[in-house]
Amino acid sequence: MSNLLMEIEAQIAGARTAAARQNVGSIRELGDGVAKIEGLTDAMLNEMIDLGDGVTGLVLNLEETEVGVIILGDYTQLKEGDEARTTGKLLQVPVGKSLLGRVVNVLGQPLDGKGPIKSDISYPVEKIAPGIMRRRSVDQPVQTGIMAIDAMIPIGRGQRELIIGDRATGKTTICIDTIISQAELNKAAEAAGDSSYRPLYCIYVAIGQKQSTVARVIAVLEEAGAMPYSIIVSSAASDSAANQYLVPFAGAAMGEWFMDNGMDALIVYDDLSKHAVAYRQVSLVLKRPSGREAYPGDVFYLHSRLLERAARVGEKYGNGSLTALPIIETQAGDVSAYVPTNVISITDGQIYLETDLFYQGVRPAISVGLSVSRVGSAAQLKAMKQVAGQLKGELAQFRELAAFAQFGSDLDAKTQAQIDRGKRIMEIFKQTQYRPIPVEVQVAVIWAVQNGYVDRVPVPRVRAFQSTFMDFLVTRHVELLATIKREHTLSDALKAELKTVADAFTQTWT
Amino acid sequence: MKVNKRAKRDAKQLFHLCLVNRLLAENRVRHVVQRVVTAGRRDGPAILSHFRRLLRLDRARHTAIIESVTVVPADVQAAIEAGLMRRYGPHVTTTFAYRPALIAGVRIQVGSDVYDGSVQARLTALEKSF
Amino acid sequence: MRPEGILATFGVDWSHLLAQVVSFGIVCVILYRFAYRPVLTMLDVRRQQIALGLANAEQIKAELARTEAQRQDVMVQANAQANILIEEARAAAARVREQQTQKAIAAAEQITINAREAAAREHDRMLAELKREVGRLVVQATTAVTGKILTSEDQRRLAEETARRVAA
Repeated sequence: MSNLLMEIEAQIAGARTAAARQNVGSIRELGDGVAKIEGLTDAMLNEMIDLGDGVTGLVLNLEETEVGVIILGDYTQLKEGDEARTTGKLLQVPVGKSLLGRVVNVLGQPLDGKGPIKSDISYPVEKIAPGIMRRRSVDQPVQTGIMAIDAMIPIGRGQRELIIGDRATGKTTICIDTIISQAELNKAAEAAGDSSYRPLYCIYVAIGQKQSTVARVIAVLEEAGAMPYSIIVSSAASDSAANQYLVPFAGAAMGEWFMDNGMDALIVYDDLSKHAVAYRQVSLVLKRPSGREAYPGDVFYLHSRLLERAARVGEKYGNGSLTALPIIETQAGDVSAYVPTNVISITDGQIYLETDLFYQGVRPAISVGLSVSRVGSAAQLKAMKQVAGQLKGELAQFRELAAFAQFGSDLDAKTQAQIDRGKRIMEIFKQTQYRPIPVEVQVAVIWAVQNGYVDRVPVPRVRAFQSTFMDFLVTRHVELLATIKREHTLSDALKAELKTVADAFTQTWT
Repeated sequence: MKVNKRAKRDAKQLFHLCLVNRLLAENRVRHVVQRVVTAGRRDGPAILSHFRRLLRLDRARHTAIIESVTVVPADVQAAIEAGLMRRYGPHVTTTFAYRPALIAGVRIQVGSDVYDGSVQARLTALEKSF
Repeated sequence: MRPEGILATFGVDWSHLLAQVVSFGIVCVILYRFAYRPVLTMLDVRRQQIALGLANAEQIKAELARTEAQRQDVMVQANAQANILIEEARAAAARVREQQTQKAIAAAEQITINAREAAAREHDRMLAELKREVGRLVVQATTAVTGKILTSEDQRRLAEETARRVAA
């Protein structure tokens, strides 16, 4: 109680000094979440403006006689003629580990009702990306837990990998799987007391999503125990376009704190198509000139400055990394539209999801031919590289040959073998959602496939074989898996041991 | 009234014509207004409305409104005026107004700059800080 | 007696004997070629077959013995493996039980921590609200009272302060 009184007294004492010169303006025009304010002669670009009643605005347009301000907050209480004051501050959000496990909005205010965010550090929402000399090349893997990605399209820490596809093809699911996988790896490393493992914290930015979708994502993450390592930054579809425009930058600011402090973070932007639409709305209301598809002229700069902030920085500059997984939704598989082509040219690779594959039952519906990771095997465990190096080529050959097989012509034994192997590989890569597979189990399974242990299994039973084999490994050969994980490479001894294990399993499997 | 870009541009040009030594000359303003009215152009009202707005803004920039609760003593008035003139140039007109809501102290507004030393402002700031 | 007499007594005639010997010879040769040899070959073959059969029987017996030995081995091995499996299953069950217990303990701890945190949060919220209310009251009181208390000296001082700020 005495603390409380002392605090109050201190605040009263602080109020004795009057404020210095202030800069004010009055609202001349108000509508669509944008206010035109007359006055405010000292306003700077991207400065925060105090509009009274706890409502803040952001200066986006500086004109001769007035200032265009987008309103972040409830603009229904404002009237024409209201006074607005500059704050001299750029838009900032609280950052730090106290945000982990929380759901916040674009200003860092909590949405989950678990009390205020205690953070004494704030990072500006708009920040210039790390320069060339501050960066380091990407060579640490992000184990997504999805075999198709970890084997053939590996993602590294500090990379930007675009996930692009039509609606309902599993884009968000891939990101949620990655987040769950990271949480499991973090927990395992903590439990084992492994100090050499760098935990990967995840930030999920929901831009213009339905609130029910965000609620479902939170429920899935909570069930998987991933919330203590994640931050959810949400600006739902019912939020104003200004909030939706700013929320990815707020998320990036939170990720940059991890990057600057020697930690690794992963940020998911779900999705950037809605972000571009929100920015288009803001620009059009501000009467900025529009270009192709009515997007403003700087929509490329909007995404490039956001995605360039994800990087791996050198040891002297923070020794951390920020990996970005932006999501773009295409219409009818058209990757040559304006915003998708923009973002493809910005990112270091894409994972392309196809509806055809999805409905054929290949889930995750990753099109291996069109997906690419420009970091590639530099970010793969050596063991994985050893077993999965040939896979992409084999699948490419299979796809070519599969066209022949459709005609039912007689094929020679070698071609038939390739087709059979290809079908089995496709089966192996199917995976249930929200069940990431640890990398050592993936290595063992792919090794088994590459050494012909699955060739005698009929194609419809391959998945049963795979799941029983994985159970077998996880319950009865824990040490083998631990050795693979520790050594990161398949020595001859390990290969021999794998052979014994696989032989033992195939003998008893019916 | 919706003022289109061309009308705004014309009004801006006319406004700059009325400036002498970066100060507004009243006779020129009157002359301009009369000419526009008599010219009878279709966008005359639009031009004049924007012209009026620019005048109003210029006026606000060169007017200091000093609000207080009690009558400000003469020497303090002189001190304020001297300070204003030093900061904003010699052509600032000062107006004094009565505003009891300030409780005590003086609030000076010149254009968009506000120097608020009133007790009310301090109390509002204190309340917000809680 | 003389040999010719013996032979004549027994009715042996040289020409007849010769003819008989010749015809007997022919019969022997014919029999030997067409009857004895095939029969003998057949007998030989039969004898060989019997020998083979006997040898086979020996082999089969040996095989049987070996198979029996192998079967015994496999049974022993299977038993051993079954034992190993049972041991592993037991170990796995123990591990799973341990894991579940740990999970339950962690969940219980988490519930206590959550409850404690919720209580702390509630406390903080109430304190913050209290602070706000007190602040509001202070400001209200000050607003109501200050106008009446301040003398013209105070008003002058405040005006001077603002004048100084403008000049600065």
